[in-house]
Amino acid sequence: MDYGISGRVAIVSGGSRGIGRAIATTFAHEGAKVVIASRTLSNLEETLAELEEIAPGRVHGIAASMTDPESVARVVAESRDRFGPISIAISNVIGHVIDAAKEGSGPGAGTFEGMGTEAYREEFTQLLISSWALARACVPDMQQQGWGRICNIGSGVAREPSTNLPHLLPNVVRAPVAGMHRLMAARLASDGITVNNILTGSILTERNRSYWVWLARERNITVAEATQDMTNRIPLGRFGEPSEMAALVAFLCSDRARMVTGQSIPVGGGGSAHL
Amino acid sequence: MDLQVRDKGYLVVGGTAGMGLAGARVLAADGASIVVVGRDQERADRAAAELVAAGAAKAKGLAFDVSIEGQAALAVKGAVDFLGRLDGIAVTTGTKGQMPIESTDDEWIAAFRDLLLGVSRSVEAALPHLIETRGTVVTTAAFSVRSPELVRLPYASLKGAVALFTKGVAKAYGKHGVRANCIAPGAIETDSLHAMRQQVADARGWPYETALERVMTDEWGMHVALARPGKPEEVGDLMAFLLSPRAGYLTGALVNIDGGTDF
Repeated sequence: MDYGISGRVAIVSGGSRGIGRAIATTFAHEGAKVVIASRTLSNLEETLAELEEIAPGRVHGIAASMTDPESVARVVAESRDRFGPISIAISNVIGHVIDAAKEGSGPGAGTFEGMGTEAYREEFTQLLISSWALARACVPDMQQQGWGRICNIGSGVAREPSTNLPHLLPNVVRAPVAGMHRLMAARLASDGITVNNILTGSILTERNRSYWVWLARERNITVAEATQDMTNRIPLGRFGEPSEMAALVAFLCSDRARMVTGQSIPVGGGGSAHL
Repeated sequence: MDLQVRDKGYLVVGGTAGMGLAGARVLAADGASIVVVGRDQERADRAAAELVAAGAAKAKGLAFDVSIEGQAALAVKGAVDFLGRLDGIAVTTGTKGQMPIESTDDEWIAAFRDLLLGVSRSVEAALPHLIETRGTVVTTAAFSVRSPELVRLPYASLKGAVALFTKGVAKAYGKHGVRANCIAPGAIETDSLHAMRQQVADARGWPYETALERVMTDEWGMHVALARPGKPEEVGDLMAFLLSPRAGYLTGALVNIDGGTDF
């Protein structure tokens, strides 16, 4: 199946690790010109070296915050200067960083009574402002080409807020992000731009592993037991690989998926409870 | 991206024309073996020959009507006999029920057999084989399962049941490695809609290029962001992707392919 994105310029935020890295790798294999942006330079360099082997001369990395609109605009401008107009934008910014040491008390975790205004603002900036800023900066290029793909790496909690996890804020903020993408899909369809949202479920990332460490400590069980408990909740009986998420994202960003827009699609091995 | 379907065998019920055939073509292009089932043997033979020409390792057309008792099981048996295995089944049949709710019991029952039972029996018969291969199921509902229309409520109701059935299969059979997803197409310009475009253009003197679009908005009340019906190939691409191992962690999803209908 030819995805028809050879030569297209793609920006992947959070592209140096986990799901973002897998998406960037898939795009590189499909012949796209790929820009990855990430805050941490060391992660970026390692991933870039790997991508460069797949796609010599077709990859570029920028160390930048993808939550600050001005910084996002700079990333988009630099990408355009390097490779030409942007055709594909993947927003992949996680909310509060799950840290085994802080989970349960850090940003994002807590109760309605306990969360302060600043924490809410920060989470909206991380999740909503980041994806809005990236889309806004890329849409003019897409409109000019009459072709564009926007895909947000969201979370299953947008549709089914998780009540058995300690983090409150992603549960709150992921839903408006999904809503915004649906609205963008309606508004941008006539420009040849599709907009979709992934409801990420149980994907095997460093982030999930650190969550299991926290969970094990919290429940006074071993990490293996915590991992097994989480795995038991997934109908397919296993966690997914980042590459399995990337395959769908690449399809949605292909020329072939031009009729699929405004969708929120779960990738979680059947872990989403609702239809 | 190669779909990694070489050495795999697929059954497409309703695959002798339209969206099903389009999906089979995409699988064929990457070297899969395919059985297509439709009501008409001649058409099934033509489809199979076309799939071989498109690159299928092998292909066969079988004539069955899965809305008739016992035929779905025969179709699956015929497919497994030919393929020697079954890695995936797509069911795209079911067109009845586009009628008012006051329709007779007989009409409702006919719609039930066509829209739901044909799907559930086909999938049921395929499941033992899919468990062996950790295979996959794709069914087709309609965009109207999320946005029901009063003019064809029986159709939307029974397509809704197809979506729910598929979700249930995903949950119940995931532990065997079986995936199940449901596609919800909008208006797709298959042969019948394509013929309608010509008829409407001729009968009303409307421009051919926009005749169908006008019917969709003015008469069917369909507001499509892309402002056009879909093409069978566009649905076929999604179907083939979901049937392939590339979608290995995607199950229990309901995906509209409708160009953004009724936002």
